Amino acid sequence: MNAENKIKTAFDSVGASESLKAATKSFLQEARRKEERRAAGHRLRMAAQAVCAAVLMLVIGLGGYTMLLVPVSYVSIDVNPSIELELNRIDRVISARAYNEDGERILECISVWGKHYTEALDLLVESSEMEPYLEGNAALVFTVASDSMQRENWLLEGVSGSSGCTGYGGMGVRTDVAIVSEAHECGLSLGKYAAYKLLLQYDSSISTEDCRNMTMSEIHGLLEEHGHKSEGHGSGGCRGDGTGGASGADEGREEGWGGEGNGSGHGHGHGHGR
Amino acid sequence: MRNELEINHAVENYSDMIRRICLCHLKNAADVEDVFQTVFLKYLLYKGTFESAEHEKAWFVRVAINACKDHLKSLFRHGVLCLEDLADEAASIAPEEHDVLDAVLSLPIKYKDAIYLHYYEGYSAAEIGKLLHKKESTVYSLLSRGRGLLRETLGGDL
Repeated sequence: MNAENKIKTAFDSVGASESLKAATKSFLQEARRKEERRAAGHRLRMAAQAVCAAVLMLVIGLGGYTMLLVPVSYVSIDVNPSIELELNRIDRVISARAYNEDGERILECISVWGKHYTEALDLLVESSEMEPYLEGNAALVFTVASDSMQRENWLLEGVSGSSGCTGYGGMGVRTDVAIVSEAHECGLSLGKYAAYKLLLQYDSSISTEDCRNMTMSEIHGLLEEHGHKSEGHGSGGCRGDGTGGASGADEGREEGWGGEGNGSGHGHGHGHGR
Repeated sequence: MRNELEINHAVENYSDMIRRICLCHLKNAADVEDVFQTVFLKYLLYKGTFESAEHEKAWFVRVAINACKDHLKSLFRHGVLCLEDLADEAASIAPEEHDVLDAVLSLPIKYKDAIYLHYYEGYSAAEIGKLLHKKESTVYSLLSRGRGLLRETLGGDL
C-alpha cells in the first residue's frame, strides 16, 4: 500500500458521528431562530427609528414652516403704487405683492423677500422707481395689520422709524387683520381697502373699482371733502406728529380711520399733516 | 442566511472532512465540537454564493482551518489531539491505521494540513497553495518534509 492509500485509509476511520451531526443541526436550528429574531428586532428598530426620524422631520418642518412661511402680519404701502408685504413671525418679508401696475413696476426692480420689514420699506420708499410717486402732495400710507395688538404696536413703531415716515412724510395706520382676505378678494391692498371702507361710510356709491383707480391722495381728498375728522385714537402718524412731514406739520392733525367692525377696539389712527 | 435544506445538505456532505481538519489542529474533543459547530454557523450566516460544489468544498476547508487557528490563538492552546483523546474512535481503528493516524497527527501543523489535503482530500500542490495562501513550491516542500517525518516515524514502508 502506498503512502496515499495508507493515509487515506487511516483518515477514513475518522469521521463525524451521527450524534455530533445531530447536535450540530440542532445548534444551527437554534442559531437560525436567534438570527431571525435578531433580524426581526433589527427591522423593528430600524422601522421605529425611521418613524421617529420622520416624525421629527415633520415637527421640525411644520415648526419651520409655521415660523418662517406662514404670514402673521401685513404691511401695505400705498401712494399710487399699491404694494403689500406679508410678514412671518420674525417680521421678515415672505411675500411682496403689487396691486396695481405702478406697484408691479417697482417690484420688478426691487426684491424684498426675506428682508426685515423696516429694511424692505426703506428699500421700496427710497428706490428711484418710487421717487416720482412721492412728489407734490402725494399721500404715503403704511397700513399695518397683525394677529396681535402687541405685534401691531411694534410694527407701527418700526414703520414710524422707517425712512418712509421720517423722510417722506408717510403715515402709519393700523387696521383689522380680518379685512385682509376681503381686500384681496376685491383686488385691493390692505391700505387702500381700509381707505375704501372709510370712504364708504360717507359715500355709499363708491366702489372698490373706483378706489383701485384713485391715488391715496385722491382718496384722502374725498375724505376731507366729506368732513372726515380725526377720532384721535390711532397710533399717531409720522407726518401728523410734526416730526417729519415734508409739507410741514403746522396743519398736522390726526385722523382716526373708522372702525372696521371687528369689535376688537383696534383704532385706525394716523397723523396727517398737510 | 442559509435555509434548513442547505444546512442539512452541508452537514451531511462536509461533516467528516471538517472533523478530520479539526482533528489535525485541536487538542481535545470539546474544542473539536466547538470549532465544528462554528464552521457550520459561519456557513449558516454566509451571504455569498458558490459557483460550484468544488468552490463550496474549498470554502469549507479554508474556513475550517482558519477557525481551528483562531480557536487555538484565542485560547492560547497548543499541542495536538492524541487518538487516546478520542476513545470512541480509537477503539474502532485498526492498529496499523492507528499508527499512521497518530504519526500524521503528531506532525507539526504546517505539514499536517498539506499532508491531509493532498493525501486524503486529493488536492494538488497548486490548489493547496491557494487554500493555505502559500506558494506552490512551498507546498511541495511541506509535502516532501512531512512525508520524510512520517517515514522516520513509521519506518521505510510509507
